[in-house]
Amino acid sequence: MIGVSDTDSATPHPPASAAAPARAGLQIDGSKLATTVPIYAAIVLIWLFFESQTGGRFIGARNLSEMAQEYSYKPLLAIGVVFVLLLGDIDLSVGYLTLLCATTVAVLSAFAHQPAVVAIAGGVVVCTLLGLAQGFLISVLQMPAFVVTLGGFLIFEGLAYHILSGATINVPDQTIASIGTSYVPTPLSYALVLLAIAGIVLSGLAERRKRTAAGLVNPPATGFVGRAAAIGVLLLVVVALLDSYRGVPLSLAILLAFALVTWYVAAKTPFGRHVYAVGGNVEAARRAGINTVGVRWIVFGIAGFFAGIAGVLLVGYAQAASTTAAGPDLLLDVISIAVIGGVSLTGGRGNVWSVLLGGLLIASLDSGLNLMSVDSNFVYVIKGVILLLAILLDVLGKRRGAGAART
Amino acid sequence: MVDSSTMSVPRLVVRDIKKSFGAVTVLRGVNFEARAGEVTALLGDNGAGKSTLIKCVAGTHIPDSGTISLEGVVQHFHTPSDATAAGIETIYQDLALCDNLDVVANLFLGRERRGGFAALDEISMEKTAKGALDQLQIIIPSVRSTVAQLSGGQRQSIAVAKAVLWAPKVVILDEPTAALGVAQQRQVLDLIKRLREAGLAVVVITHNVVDVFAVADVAIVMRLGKRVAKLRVADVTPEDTVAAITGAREFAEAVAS
Repeated sequence: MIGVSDTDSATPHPPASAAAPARAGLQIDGSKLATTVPIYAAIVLIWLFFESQTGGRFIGARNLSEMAQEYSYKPLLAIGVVFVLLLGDIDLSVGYLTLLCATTVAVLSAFAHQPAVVAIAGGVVVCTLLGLAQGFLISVLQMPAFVVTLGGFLIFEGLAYHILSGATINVPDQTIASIGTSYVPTPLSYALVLLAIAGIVLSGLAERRKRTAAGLVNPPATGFVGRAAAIGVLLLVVVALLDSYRGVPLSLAILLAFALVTWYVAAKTPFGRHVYAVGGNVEAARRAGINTVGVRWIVFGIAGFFAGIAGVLLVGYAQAASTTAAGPDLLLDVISIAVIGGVSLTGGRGNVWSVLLGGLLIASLDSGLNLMSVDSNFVYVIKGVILLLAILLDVLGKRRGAGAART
Repeated sequence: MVDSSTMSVPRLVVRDIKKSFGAVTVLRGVNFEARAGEVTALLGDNGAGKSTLIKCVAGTHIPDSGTISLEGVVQHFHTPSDATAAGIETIYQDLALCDNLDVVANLFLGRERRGGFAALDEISMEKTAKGALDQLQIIIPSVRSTVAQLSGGQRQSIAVAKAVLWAPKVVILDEPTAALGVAQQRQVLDLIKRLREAGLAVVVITHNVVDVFAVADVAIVMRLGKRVAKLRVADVTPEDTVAAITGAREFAEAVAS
C-alpha cells in the first residue's frame, strides 16, 4: 500500500479491516442476514401454523393466487411509504387516502358514468395532488410531517365517509374489475420472466464489461451469477405455481412492475440518491447543494400517487368502494410491510424490494387469520405485535452497526 | 520554498474585516492571509473570533466592512455557495457526510454524474473517486463502504477528499483533529501536508499548539477579535505561541500587517 494511512499507523485494529476490500462486503451480508433470516423464518412458521390450523387449505397454488390478488394493493401502497420513510419522515394519511381514491373512482365510474380510464386517472390524480398538498405544508412551510399527515388522516377519512355516507358504492365497470380480478396470459407471463432474466444477465454483463474497460475491479462473478440464478428460479417457480391454478394475477404483475420502476428511481437515479442523502443527513445534503425542499415535496407526491394506485386495485378487486375497505389498520399494515422488509424508521436505510418480503408476511397473516375466521379485534392485537417486533429488529440491526442496507 | 513564496501575493488576503452581532463586536479589523503551498494555522482561545472570521471567508457571514481577495481579486460572498464557486472549500467539524451512503456517493453528493437512461454514472464516479483517494494517499477498506463503517480519521479524510475533488484554491479545515485519537490525528495531519504539497493554500483552525508545530508554516494568532501575532513556525517555540494566544507577550509582527 502507498503512503501513510490506517494500515501502517500505530493502531492494532485497522489493518484487519483495511486489508481486503472483499471483507467489507461479507460484513454487510452478515448483518443483512441477521435481520432478514428472522423474517424468512417467521414466514415459514406462519405458513406451517396456518397449514395445520386450516386443514391443509393454506399452502398451495390456489391460496397463494388468492393472496396475491386480494392483498397486492398493500405492498403497492407501501412503495410510497418506503420513499417517505427513507427521508426519515412518516405519512399517516395513506390509509384513508387509499379509501378516498377508491371512493373517487367509484363515484366517477358508477355515478358520473365516466369511462374506466377517466375514473382511474381521476382517482390517481386526486390522490397525487393531495399528497403534493401535504408535501407543500411539510417541505415549504416546514410543518412536521407527523402532524400534517395526521390532519390529512382525519380530512381524508371525513371526505371519504361523507361521500360514501355509510353505504357501499358498487362499481359494475368491467375494465376496472379486470384490474383486480384478471390474470396475465400464461405465454405472456413466461415471456416476461424470460425477459427479466435476460435483463438481469445482460445488464450485469454490460456493467462488468464497462468496469473492466474503466480499469475497475469487478466483484467475484459467483455473486452475480448466483443472484441472477436465484431470482430466475424463484420467478419461474412462482409463475409455474400460479399457472397451475389460474395464472399470475394482474394485480401482482402491476405490483412487480411498479417495484421495478421505483427501485430504479431510488437506487439508480440522482433523485433517488438525493432521497437517501436527505434521510441520512439533511444538513449535509443541503450544503451539498441538493434541493432538499423539492425532494421532500416530490416524495409526498409519490406517496399520494401510490395511495391512488392502491385505491384503484382495491376497487378493482371488490368492484365496490365501502367504508370498511381501508383505514387505520391499512396504515399500520403498510408501515409494518416497509419495516419488516428492512426500511428504517429513522431514514436513509432500506430499499423498495423490501415491500415484497414484508408484503408476503402481512398477506400470509391476513389470509390465514381470515381462513381461520379469527375475531377482527384479535387480528389488530396480532398486527400490533408484529409491527413492534419489526421495529425491534430495525433497532437491533442498527445497534449492530448495519449501516449498509442500501440499493 | 518559504522565501520564494513570500515574494508573491498571497492567494487569500483578508483586510480589515469587522463584524458585529448587535451590540457585540466579534471582529475588530482583522487581517489574514494564506499562501499557496503553505499551511496557515489560525490560532486563538475560545471567543477570539476564529470561527467568525472563517465564516466570513466561507460566505456564511457577511462582514460589516473590510475586503476578501482571492488571487488579487476582491470577492463579495453572499452565500456559502458563492465562496465554493470562487474556490474556497470549508470543512467544518461536523464533516457534512451522509453516514448511510458510500464513499463514492458522498464525494459526488449534489454533483452526481449522469449516464444513460437518467441513471447515475456510477462507474465514472467510482473511477474518479479512486483516483482522488489514491492521489491523497487515503486508504479505506473500499470506496463502496458506507461512511458509517469508517473510522473517525477516515471520515475526516473523506471530508477533505470531497472538498479537494472540486479543485479549490483554498481549503479551510475547522479543528480537523479535535475528535480523533492519536494515530488518527497523525493520519489527518499527514493528509494536510499532502494538500500543501499539491499547491493548495491550506488554513487550519485550531487551538492545539501541537498540531501547529506538526504541520503549519505560519501561525496567525487572534485574541478578542484582533490579530495579535503572525509567526513563522520555524522561527518560534511552542512557548512563544502559547504566550501569544494568552497575551502574556506582545509580538511585533502584529503591528507589521
